Amino acid sequence: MPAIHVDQEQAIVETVAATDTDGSEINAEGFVIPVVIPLSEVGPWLALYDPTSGTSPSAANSRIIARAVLDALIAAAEAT
Amino acid sequence: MPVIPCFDRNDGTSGGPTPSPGGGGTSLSGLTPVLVDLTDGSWTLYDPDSLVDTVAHSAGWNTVTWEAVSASADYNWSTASGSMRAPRWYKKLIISTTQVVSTDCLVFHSEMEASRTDTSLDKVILTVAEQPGSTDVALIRAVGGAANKVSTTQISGGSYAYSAETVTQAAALGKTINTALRSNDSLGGSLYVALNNSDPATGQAMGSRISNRNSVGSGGTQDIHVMVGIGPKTSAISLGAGDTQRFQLRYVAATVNWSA
Repeated sequence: MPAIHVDQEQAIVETVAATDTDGSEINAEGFVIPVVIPLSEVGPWLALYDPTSGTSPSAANSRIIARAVLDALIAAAEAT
Repeated sequence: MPVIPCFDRNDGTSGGPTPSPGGGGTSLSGLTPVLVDLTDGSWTLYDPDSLVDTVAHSAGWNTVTWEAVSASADYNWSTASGSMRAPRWYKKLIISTTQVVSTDCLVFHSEMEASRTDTSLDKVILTVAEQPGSTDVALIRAVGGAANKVSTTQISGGSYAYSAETVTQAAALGKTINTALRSNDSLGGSLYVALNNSDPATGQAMGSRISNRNSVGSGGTQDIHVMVGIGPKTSAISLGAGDTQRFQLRYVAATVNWSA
């Protein structure tokens, strides 16, 4: 499984006005959580993902990303 | 183990070195910022769609009275639409007698405060910019700070870079201090500390925003300007004729000659 990390010390509440990946505008106050994907892991991660498939990525692969982000969210919320 | 000098390294006398000011020239301690008065005659207004009715200044606050503004990404400084037609005031950034240019290492400190008394939800940015008289975000190349009226009780303040902002909003928010750094044709980014409205004010939040734009100097060396941009808070917000927007802005700018 590829690896993924969160820069926990930089997870804070901010208000972001910017543009999302799909081009839509973001205007939200929320936790900003920096996700770190090592360059050596980018290829393996992308190989696991087919954006045209509704079942991609697999549940097991999704869980790696989800748990990293949600664990960081729990820690950040508890620290706030 | 700490090392404490026994002799002054300059003149050899015992007792260690005597503190002395560094750098020579003008002291950098306690610099006095420039108060932005948009009516003082030094600013050029670029308002391609004639959205500003009047501007006034009193007791440090600038007050803009708007014409009717339709909701549009063209008037939202914090969107990646690429087209920017919102009003902005600008002037060349000249330190002493030297025009700052895009290849310089520039530090731009600012203090911003939006007003809760505004009649609508709006935004002001205070930045340095390369071509503030353009409607193309890629040529304006702005980096600095942003402040918004968020609701009847809250304002926000923080960092602005290129076409987006990262700010803090709070009921107790007062001024926001921001420092933008750009250097060697990199647009750099900004870092802020948001202050509460107690006296003395204390920091209550912090954040930053990078521009993600390096080597922006493809158009050649550009003169740097100070720019004040205004507009609705988001692309979905319209403004009515007669709506007012108030803000208080100050800044200090410095360049560093690293090769000296």
